[in-house]
Amino acid sequence: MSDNYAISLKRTTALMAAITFLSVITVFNLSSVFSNKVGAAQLESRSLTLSSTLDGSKNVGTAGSETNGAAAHHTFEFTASAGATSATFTYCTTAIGGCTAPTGLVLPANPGASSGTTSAASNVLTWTDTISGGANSVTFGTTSGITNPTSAGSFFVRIQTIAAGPVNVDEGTVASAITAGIEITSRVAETLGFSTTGDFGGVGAPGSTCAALTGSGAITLGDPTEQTLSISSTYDNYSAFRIYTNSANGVNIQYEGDTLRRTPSSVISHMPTKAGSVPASEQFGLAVDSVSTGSVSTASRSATISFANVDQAAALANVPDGPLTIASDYDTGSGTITSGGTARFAYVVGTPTTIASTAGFTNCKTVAVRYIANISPLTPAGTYRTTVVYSAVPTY
Amino acid sequence: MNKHNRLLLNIVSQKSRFLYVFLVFVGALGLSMVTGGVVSANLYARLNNRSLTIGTTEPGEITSYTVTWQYPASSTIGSVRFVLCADPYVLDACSMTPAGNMSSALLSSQSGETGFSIASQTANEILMTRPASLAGTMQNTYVFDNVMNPTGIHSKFYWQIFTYPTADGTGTPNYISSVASATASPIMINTKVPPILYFCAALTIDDWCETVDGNFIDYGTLDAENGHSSSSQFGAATNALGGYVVTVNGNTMTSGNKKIQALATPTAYQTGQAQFGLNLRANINPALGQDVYGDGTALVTADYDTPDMFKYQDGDIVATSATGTVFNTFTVTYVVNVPPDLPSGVYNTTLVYICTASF
Repeated sequence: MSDNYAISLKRTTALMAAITFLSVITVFNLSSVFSNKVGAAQLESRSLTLSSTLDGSKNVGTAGSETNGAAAHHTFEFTASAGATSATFTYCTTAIGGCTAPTGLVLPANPGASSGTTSAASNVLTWTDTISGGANSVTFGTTSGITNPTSAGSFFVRIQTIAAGPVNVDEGTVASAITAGIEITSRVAETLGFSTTGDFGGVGAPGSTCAALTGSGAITLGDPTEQTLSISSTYDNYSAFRIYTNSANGVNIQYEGDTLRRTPSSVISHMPTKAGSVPASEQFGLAVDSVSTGSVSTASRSATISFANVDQAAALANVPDGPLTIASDYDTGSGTITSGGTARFAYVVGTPTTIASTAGFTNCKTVAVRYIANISPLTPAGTYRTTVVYSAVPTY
Repeated sequence: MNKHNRLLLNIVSQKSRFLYVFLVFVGALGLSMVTGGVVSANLYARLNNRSLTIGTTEPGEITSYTVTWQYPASSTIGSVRFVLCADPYVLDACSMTPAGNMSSALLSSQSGETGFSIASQTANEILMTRPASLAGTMQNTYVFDNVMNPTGIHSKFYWQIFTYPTADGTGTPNYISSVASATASPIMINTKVPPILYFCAALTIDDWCETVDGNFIDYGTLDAENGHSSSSQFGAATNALGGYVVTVNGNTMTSGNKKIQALATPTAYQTGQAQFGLNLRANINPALGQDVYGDGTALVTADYDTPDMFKYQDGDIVATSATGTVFNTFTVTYVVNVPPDLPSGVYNTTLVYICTASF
């Protein structure tokens, strides 16, 4: 054997040892990079669900609600190996590499959890509990909500389960994202529709828009030819009003006006209290007539009046929008107007007086108002007039 | 499988897992962007229990506006702006200004939070201000006089209300709301009262002339020893403001050119004398007649208002009412006495009562 062979053998051995060493170093170096992924198992079926994806500046509603990013709950689910007694949750802006805490994230010192105990420092939340082998679920922020990052975009939470030792058991990274949220704005405007007419040709069907009444507000009381009153019989006539509103606190419909007047000192007396018609005595009054469909002849008109689009008493109690309540002095306008008749009327002079009202919003209602007048033999001859003004006052 | 290969597998599987997580993340992100956003109405602070009452709903009329509201919480209030608008959308510019006018409005009354005065006003806007101070949650009411309603029938309109913590209406409002009202057709009622006169005359009548009966009196044969008397009735009612007068018209009893002397002045009843006369009273001599009755206010004129005294002059007023009156019934007693030397013949007369009402 030559010295060269001996030397070659040494070199070979040394070379093999070096190669082995380098391989080991390489393996160790690789393992230093991938050590966790080589030695620790992955958490399976892992996820992070936020109670709100709004950023941490949004503090609307209760903690843990979808509108509150300032006090959110974070729910982690994962499948883990058995044996871990705690876990850390590290919030980062990236999934791997160096960890930078997401801007604006605030982990309370004791956020609370659905099970076990928690503590937090900076961007790391520590959970202490027996972590079962298999599926686990825990919600953090139950005591003191977690403030989400304040910047829109994704963030990551690196999870590490730890057994006594401490020994790392399982690991995994979950991701979530902060969004601006979709705000849908709507406005419900205050609504009011109110109209009057003395022309029943203008009382058409309201339709879906609750169309306003049309026609003149001028009406006459008296016989159809001469429009004169009589001491032997009562004359009547009608006007109508229509109302709708979305006022939550209801609406009052009021009337105001003078009695029938000829001169400053010559009037036909009004009916200050609810009463029936008494021919040959001075009376002027009004009331709501509950007649609806069909037609009514009045002594004041030569033609019949159609009430096809006027609510009747039963319809005034419509649901679901609630009834239109007629004031008690004005709720008996239908019936006879002869002496001793069944209809009742009243009239207040000089003060806005409620004739009907609702407690809340009302859909389209149309109402017929009936007027009567009687004179005595002493009522001076002449032309008498008045103007009755109706108004609707909704309270929102 | 050596470690190296296992390493490769782990790296590949990590990549796969990472890709899976990434895809799930993207999907979740997308889903959260669709479903995870906040859905809610615009919650600007509103005034509670608010309403607007206008003095009259007649279009174009000058009237008063009473606006009222409650603050939902104690707030610093220094100024309030009212904007007349055709819509209630307080966050947008007014779509159209109704043709009302608030430029001459006067703040005539205030309650609740007070101390306001109008700082500026135009046709469609009023700014009222005060030194800023904390406002409570009581009901506040403000009355503005001299406001002109929008013109146009059935015109609904809104007052948009902006309250400010500043005393000059600048800055961000702390409350914004709308109230609504509407103009409407006034109901104009016309009627007539006709002139009314009830008048009738007969031997007997009923109330309000419902029944009248007879018009002929026959005294039979006249003689000087026995007086002769009879009666008839008339009645009247009217709404004439000037009342009425009733006159009696006609000659005394005549037969050709012979006559029974009418009593020119109220004279006692006396047989054997030439007498023709009447009165409207209940008499003793003769026992005939009745005083006026009924609910009316008419009166007998003086010359015919004394029992047992009789008179007759053609055209004399026998009854009057100074103003309108309900029905009165009058009973007329006639007396005829003749002297012994009265020429024979058939003596008669026709008396006509005329009622004249002054409207």
